[in-house]
Amino acid sequence: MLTIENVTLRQGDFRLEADFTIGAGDRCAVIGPSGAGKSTLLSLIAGFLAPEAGRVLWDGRDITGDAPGDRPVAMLFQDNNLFPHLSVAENIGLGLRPDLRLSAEEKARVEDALRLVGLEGYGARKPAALSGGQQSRAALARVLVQDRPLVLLDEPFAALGPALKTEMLDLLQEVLEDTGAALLMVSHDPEDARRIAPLTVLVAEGRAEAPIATGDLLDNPPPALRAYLG
Amino acid sequence: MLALPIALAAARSRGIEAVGLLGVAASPLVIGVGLFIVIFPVADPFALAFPVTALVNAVMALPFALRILVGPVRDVVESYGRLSAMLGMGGWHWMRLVMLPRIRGPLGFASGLTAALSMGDLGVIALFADSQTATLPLQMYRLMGSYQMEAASGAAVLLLVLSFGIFWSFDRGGRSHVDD
Repeated sequence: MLTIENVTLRQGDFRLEADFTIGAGDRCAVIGPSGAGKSTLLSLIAGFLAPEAGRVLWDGRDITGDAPGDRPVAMLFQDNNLFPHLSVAENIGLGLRPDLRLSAEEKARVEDALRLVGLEGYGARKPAALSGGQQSRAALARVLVQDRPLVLLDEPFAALGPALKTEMLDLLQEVLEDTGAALLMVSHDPEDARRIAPLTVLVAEGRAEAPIATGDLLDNPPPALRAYLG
Repeated sequence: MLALPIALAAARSRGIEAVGLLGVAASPLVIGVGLFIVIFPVADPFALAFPVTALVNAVMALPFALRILVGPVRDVVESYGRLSAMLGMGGWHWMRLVMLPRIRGPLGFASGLTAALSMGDLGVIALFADSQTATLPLQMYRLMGSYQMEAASGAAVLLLVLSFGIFWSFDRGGRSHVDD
């Protein structure tokens, strides 16, 4: 369970407040106007930004000061999710061991993950030899082997076409069912939220609201969200 | 080798690159004289000719190596810093798996340039060398001093070929197998 306790985060003039809880296995979309602080919220949870006040807790344990790698978090970014000079299998293997000294059993897990995301036989290739959709699959395979209880997605599929994005969201759902992880996913598309996330966190006017049912929020949007959705 | 840690530090804060420029402020001969004076009371300068020459040449090449390395190092930190941190990569493993492969090209170029610059050293070695040890340019100078012009020409050709060859092999080493 992720608890964000009376957090205030400041970056220059920008200020974001948050105070909410996300249960184990909950799937939340993060929606709001551009520049409202959706990515900032994820960076805070991942440990790239430190709050000015408040605490971030995981299952009651204070992780506010923990390094990103020590947190129970797997994250995908908008870009640069794979190291271009490492093979696909090595990129996935980094999710198991940051020094890449994999045991035979760990190598087998990488192969399993490749198979699950439909990239069997692609392990030896470099990411550049893969299509955009295949690169996203490889990144999801790493999330799978990382097996962390919280997955953060900062629009990693934004550059994909609509059909491919839907495909990735379905695959993401499989990965989440496999690992039982909770999800926080930044999205610009309300349909993504409806498709995959029963809950939605609205980030607007300097505040990240507590998650509420996605359907209710999108059917009766508050003024800040209505202005954004148009 | 000296430049890489400074480039890493400079990738985080911009002022540090200026440290490398201090080496240009004094000529190698001046630095050499200074070191000679410092070393003379405590040790035999002639015995230390090799390490001192290497050190001074490294300092002299530092601003060039930094100018080549700081940009690419900063790019790697900006592009892959968060991904690496999220995966818990740090220290030597991060250098081995991310930084060094990503900056192979510029690192090879910087090493080649440094090697070529050092090959031509005439400043420090002139002070520290005894008659048995010399760099090739110094030997060439000595040959010219004793009017052995043909031998000096031979040394010059050798110097040219070696300098160019060393630069080429370092630079080539950085460029091969680059795929991204």
